[in-house]
Amino acid sequence: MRFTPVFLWSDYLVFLLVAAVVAGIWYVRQREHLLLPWRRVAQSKVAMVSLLVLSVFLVISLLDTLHYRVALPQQADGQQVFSPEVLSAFDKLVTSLRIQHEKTYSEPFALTLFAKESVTDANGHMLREYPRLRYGGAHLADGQQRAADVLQRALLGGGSGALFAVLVLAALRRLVWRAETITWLLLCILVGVIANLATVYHVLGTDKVGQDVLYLSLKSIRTGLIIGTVTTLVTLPLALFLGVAAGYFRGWVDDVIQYIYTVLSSIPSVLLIAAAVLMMQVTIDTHPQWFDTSASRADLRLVFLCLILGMTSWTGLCRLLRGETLKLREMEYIQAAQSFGVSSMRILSRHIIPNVMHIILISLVMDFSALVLAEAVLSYVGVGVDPSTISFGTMINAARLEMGREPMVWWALAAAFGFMLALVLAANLFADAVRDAFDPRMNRTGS
Amino acid sequence: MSILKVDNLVARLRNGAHIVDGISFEIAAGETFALLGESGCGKSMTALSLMRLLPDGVENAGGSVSLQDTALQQLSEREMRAVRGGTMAMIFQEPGLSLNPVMTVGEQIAEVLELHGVIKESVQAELVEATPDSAVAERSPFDRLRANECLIAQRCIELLEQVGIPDAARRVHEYPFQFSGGMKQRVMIAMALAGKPKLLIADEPTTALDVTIQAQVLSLLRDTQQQSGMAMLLITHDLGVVAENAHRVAVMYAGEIVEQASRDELFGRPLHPYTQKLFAALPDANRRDHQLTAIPGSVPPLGSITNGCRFAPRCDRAWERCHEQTPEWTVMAAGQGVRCHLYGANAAGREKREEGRVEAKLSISSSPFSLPPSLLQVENLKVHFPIRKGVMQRVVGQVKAVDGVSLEIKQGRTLALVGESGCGKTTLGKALLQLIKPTAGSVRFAEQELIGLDAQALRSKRSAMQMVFQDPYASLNPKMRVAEILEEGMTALAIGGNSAARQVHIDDLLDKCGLARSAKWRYPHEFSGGQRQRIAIARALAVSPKLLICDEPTSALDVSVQAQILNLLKSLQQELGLSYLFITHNLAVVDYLAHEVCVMYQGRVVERGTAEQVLGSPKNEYTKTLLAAVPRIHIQQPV
Repeated sequence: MRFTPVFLWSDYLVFLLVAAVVAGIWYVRQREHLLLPWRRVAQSKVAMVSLLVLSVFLVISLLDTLHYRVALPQQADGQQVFSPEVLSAFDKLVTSLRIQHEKTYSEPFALTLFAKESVTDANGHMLREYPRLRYGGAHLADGQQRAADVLQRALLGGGSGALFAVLVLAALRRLVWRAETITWLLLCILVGVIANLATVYHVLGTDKVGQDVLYLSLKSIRTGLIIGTVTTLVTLPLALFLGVAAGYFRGWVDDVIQYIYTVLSSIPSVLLIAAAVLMMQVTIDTHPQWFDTSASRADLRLVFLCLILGMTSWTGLCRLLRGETLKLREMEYIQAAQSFGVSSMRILSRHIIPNVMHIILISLVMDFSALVLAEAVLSYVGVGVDPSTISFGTMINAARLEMGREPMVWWALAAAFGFMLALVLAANLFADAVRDAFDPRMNRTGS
Repeated sequence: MSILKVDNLVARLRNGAHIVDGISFEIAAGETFALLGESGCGKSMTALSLMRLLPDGVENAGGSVSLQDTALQQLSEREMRAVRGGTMAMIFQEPGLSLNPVMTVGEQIAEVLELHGVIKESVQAELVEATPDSAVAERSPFDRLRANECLIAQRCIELLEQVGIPDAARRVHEYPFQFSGGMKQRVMIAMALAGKPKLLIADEPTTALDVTIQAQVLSLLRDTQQQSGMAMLLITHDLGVVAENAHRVAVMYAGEIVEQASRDELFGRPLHPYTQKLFAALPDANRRDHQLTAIPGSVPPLGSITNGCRFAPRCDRAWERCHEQTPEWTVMAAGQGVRCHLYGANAAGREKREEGRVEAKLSISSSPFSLPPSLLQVENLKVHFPIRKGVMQRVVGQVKAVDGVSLEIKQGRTLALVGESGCGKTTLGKALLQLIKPTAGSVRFAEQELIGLDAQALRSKRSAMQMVFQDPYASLNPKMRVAEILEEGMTALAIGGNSAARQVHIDDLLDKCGLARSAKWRYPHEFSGGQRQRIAIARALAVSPKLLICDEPTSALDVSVQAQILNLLKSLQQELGLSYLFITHNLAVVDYLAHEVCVMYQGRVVERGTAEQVLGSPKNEYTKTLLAAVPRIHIQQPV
């Protein structure tokens, strides 16, 4: 199969982040005293368990970042023609989930649709009944066998997952009974069970247009992580530089920065974001020639949404950092540095920023969850991500309409909730452990 | 007849380390009992466990406390609440933090009065006196309530008057921020007295206050005690305060009482080596040319010593037995108790140790140079801070922090700048370093004017003048290692050659300041207060300054550690010919270290002269008040 790789804007940003993290790891590995706090992170059970959970999300979203277009059989002017559909490595991995569309809603593990439909039987009679799903449980003759089949497949999947987990541990020579290995085992079993069941059932049901909810949830992870991290990339330099500068220099610098963020934070942020998104939307719509696929158009909208969210959400962190810097600048070690004639930039980077890092870390992780939620709210107002982009926001938004229905369509919402909870909780716990490990009171070099 | 009887009290951390380890003492009515010790020795924990207010993570693990024959440990929490503030009251170290900023002082005192029902009884009593018996019953409950409120308000004013707050009737409606530090402490005392306590626990009641205020507060406490006959537990690290106020003293070290005696006995004839060292470590004029007897090392970490005497690692009279066997409590003649093998029943083997004590004498005489050249000349220096108001930030007034100060520091000499908090001495120090821009005046360093220089020109002068700060915990960046801290100044001023040469220089500095070379790769949090102050001194010395401005460098340190730092400063002066501007409020340190003294009051220098002149025969009224306020110890020096 021939294909051509596709690089979307958000892909570049993700690669940039990955490169930065790799460079950071390399830098820290060279320096023993910087490595020390990370060693403590590695010793913390909570950190390792949450990192393991987090890495599942990261792996999925990284796979989902490798985009390509498949070559079509026909040729035009001797040139290879590629499908307009942009797929990712992750899509390829879960092809069956992606293409097995039902007609409309169905419950998790259902064999039939959620609503009755009129069907004509062999004798030409009109019947009102629950039609069988096209893919979900299609291999079963009747509903009686379902429980046994699910159990059997779950056991098989779980068993092979456990076997894989143990083999990997044995290969790494880490065959010990610890929190990390138990989590690894459980994760492998869970993935095994779901993977084995998902081939023949809709484990989390289907949505209104019959898409598998599990597939939607997994695809949403990348959107959520991009909104969380890329927005941070925009927020952090602004908040960090402006907040620290305002606190350290005081005077007119402080006045100007304070006026800017006071004005910015007194404008209702949804209004500001809506205006910016609509302007961008108009620009995109009037220049269709910029985009060769619909995916790249949707992606640009996502990136711009991140930028806009970043531009409007730096004020809170900035205010916090300004306050902390006001406190720190009176510390005697800052005055000692001043009396050595150390330059202001160096004081900011060597003395102040390292000492506000704990605030940055905590508030970024807190913001991360808020941003994922903000995306949902904005999608609801209609100024969020492109409707074709799969995200937790669009999932929740679609599910919201069905909450009033009796019987309730609960699974889409529950799936989004569950995935977001796991993601944000893991990130929070990890950040907490990192902050603890970096506490200077813990910084004992031993010996 | 003792009011408080503490027997074998133990408080420990959850991990088993004992913070307070088997403490026993008694306090009689009308008596002041002092718990003396350095920071971290468990004296505040003792007070808190008496109140049953131990913080989370610390638990009471045995012993008994009885207050007026009531066993406090057996009381329920509800009964204990009646005891706190009632029979037993406490005042804390930081008056600014122990008053609620959003309640008027009157409300806060009234709260105590209401809670402890002191008024109710007296209302009843007064009503009975004022009216015939039958009339009492006829009064409506509302009337009684009104009368009660009236009396509470009245009593509040009385209490404030009692603690010497002028115009009490008006000030009772004011908020804590309208009071000065000393006044706040008076309010705290009034609150403590409101419940008419039998025992008052004063935890470092004057540590946060200036000397003159301290003298007032202490005399207030003494007067109150005389009037009411209450017992007082005074917790302090200040030997002077103990000498002036206490009747009996217990010396604490690492969670234990090591010596207990009446004041006269303790100061006249200290028995325990720790107590002796503590007295010897006090700086004063008589020891000027001698090195202070510093106690080497620092207080051992909690629970680190289980066998043997806890002071043994720092004691120069310790022998094998001290490390192996925990000394018993030995009661000497006249009721003086001590926990030391030297006085135990089996004290053999101690004599040979005693000869090892030689007081090192510094080789400098008091005036080695007949006329040393002047290094720093300050003339009519002013630092004014504008007060801005309104939208346009108009200047509506000036705070004159430093108002026309002139002084001169000669090479290799020490000038002490003495004054109380807020008199502008720290601002002056920073203005000399050009950390704060002076408003007017001239600062000439080695014949060169510093004021008006641009940043670039100033940078080349920076290495000649450096500062050592007050708080060793705030003056070192917690995120940098010692080597980085020491190297920073050299990098910024581009001195000390390449990085290899700088590392050699750093090793050299660490040696000079009495730190191990391995300290280089550690973070400041791994060091004790005294060691951190050494690092701060090493940092200042890294750029080879000629003048060191020391801003209260020992006020955050314990007496024994203070002696180490003073010794270090003195030997550095001798070795490197440094000049010091020593900013302090501690007159004993001035006596010991300074050649010349400037006394500052409200931004001006009110008296200037040699140390002997100023401290021996002060001319200015303020200087006299200041000197009179310092608590003195009159020890008969053993011949």
